Amino acid sequence: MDAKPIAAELVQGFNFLDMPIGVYVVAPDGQLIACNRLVREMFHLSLDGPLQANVASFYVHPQHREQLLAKVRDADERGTQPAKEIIPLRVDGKEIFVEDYCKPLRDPATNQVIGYIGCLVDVTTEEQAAQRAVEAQHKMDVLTADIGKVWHASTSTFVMARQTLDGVIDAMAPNPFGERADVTPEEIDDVLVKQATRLASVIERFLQTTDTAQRLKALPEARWQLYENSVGLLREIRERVPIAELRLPTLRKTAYEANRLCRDARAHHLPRELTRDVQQAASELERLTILFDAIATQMAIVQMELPFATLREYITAEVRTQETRERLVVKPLIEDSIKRLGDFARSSNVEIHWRERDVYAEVEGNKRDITRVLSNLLHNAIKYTWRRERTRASWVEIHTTVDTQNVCIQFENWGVPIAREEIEQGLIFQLGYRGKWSTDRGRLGTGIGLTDADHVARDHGGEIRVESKPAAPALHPQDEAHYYQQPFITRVTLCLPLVGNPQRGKP
Amino acid sequence: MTSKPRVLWIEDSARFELRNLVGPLFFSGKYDFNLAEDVTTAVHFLRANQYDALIVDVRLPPGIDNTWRKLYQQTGFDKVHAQLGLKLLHWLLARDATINPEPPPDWVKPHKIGVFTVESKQEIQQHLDELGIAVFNQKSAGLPDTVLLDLIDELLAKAIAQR
Repeated sequence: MDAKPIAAELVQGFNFLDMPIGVYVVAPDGQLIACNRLVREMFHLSLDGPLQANVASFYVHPQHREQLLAKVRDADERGTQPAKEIIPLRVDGKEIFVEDYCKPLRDPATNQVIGYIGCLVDVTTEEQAAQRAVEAQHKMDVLTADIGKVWHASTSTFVMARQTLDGVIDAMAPNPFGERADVTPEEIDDVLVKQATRLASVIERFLQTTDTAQRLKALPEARWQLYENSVGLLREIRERVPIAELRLPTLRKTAYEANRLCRDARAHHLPRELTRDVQQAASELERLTILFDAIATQMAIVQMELPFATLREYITAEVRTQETRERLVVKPLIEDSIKRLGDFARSSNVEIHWRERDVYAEVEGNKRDITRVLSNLLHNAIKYTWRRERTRASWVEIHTTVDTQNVCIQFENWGVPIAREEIEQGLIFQLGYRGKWSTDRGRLGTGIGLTDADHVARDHGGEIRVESKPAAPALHPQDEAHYYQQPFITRVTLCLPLVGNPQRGKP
Repeated sequence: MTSKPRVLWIEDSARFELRNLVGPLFFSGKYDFNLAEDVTTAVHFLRANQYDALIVDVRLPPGIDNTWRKLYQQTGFDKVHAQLGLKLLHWLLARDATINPEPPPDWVKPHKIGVFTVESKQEIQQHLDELGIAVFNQKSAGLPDTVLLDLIDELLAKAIAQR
């Protein structure tokens, strides 16, 4: 039997001409027998003339049609739903994408397939957007892999710089402050100014003792003029260079030049002992400036090491091979994090107090991820701690609790607040978000640590809990302008399910 | 005793990555030196004193003055795009009232100004030409510590030659 009468019956018995999706009946070879207006529009056919098109001619890849019909027949034989396929077609040279729901049209008498009936939905816009998204994702993957490599190289450079500074600090020893980590900029400035004054006195004595004729034999006049200038600069360094940060490089340059003058001078024209005094005083000033500069730079590097490492891991997370999970005892993970943050804590003059050390609870997870989260939370606790007492170093506390389901590791600090709405609205977990109060005193950060911690905690079936409240609530009530100026106690807790807890590993 | 030439450096990175540049300047003992780290402070200095040389950065923060803050905000709080250094120069030299309706000090002249910035000369050439500024140096890695001193020396030598 021909499919045409069935198609005609369909058209007459059921008015599909104005249906909002394309409907068609085709012969087994793809010749269009009947279709509604939308299909005519889709294929750029005349809207009311006879149908003289074969759908096979629109296929970009002819084998798609064969594959589609094979699936359709197979589904039909198994009595399942008609197959849905997204097919690229070319109409008048332009590519479109359609979703095709198709099933065989059978002769009621013989049950032979006499054509196909189906629906078409134009999904060109969606499909092109999806393709663009895939391309963009691919580009992003390539880019993040590249950024990851660059970042990796940068962190290696940091490590090298730190090692070099270790060498410089050793070479420039002794440090007048010994092992003290709580040296203030004012104390450093005092030491430098004292040594600058000493150098000024020595140079002055030198200039007063040697006569001009003698000096000019050793060096030209212009160089001596610099020497004389330096006395005033060294004596009045605080007044002449009022910006503290500029004093150290200025003193270093002055000491270096004073030393150089002694080196360049024809020494036999100058009193040896006085020249040696100048050189010693200048060398000592130069040594101190290099030492303090190296220590300050090293502290800055130490502060940025963990955020850099975290950012690197975050960037490369998607392209890293999935690492296997293992049973992990919590105690060594915390110990590892404390060890990693040791230098940072020392340079920040913050002690780490951890009382409940016997935590033998086990979790199942990725060691690197969990250690990174613990380190990040500890890093934040140290970074955002204020000094509580004049006579002792600041501290952060680590508390660990275990119940029947979970182990919780809490980091508590006293200092920078987290605003209530930032916690309630989950802002602190948004990628790149930095807390309203977190940037005071020049603290740097990437806004990645808590986002990463939240991801890792969820990925392990756990959670991050955050609370931040005034250390002395009565001091400034919440409606006061000074509310967030007072110290807050902030507790950030990582809770992970214990091994054996059914929550374990749930996303 | 003759007074030293007065120099104002308008630069927000002076106490950070550019701090090594001031040592040679102080040690030379040749100049009286002031530093302004934002536009508000710079304008304050320019109104209070007359300088023989101004070294100006292009990417500057506005400081506390509302006029400059507004200009900064209009470009999205971004030093790179705001280029307040150039706006400051247009106000000082071209007396552009759309930048700041207050009149600028009269003594500021193009031959007293050097631009020291990360932008290449090509990037800001049009502004330099419009304003008649001839002394320029681009910040880059590996410049000698004496670069600022050399720039000031060059500026003052040209100013003397022009007289």
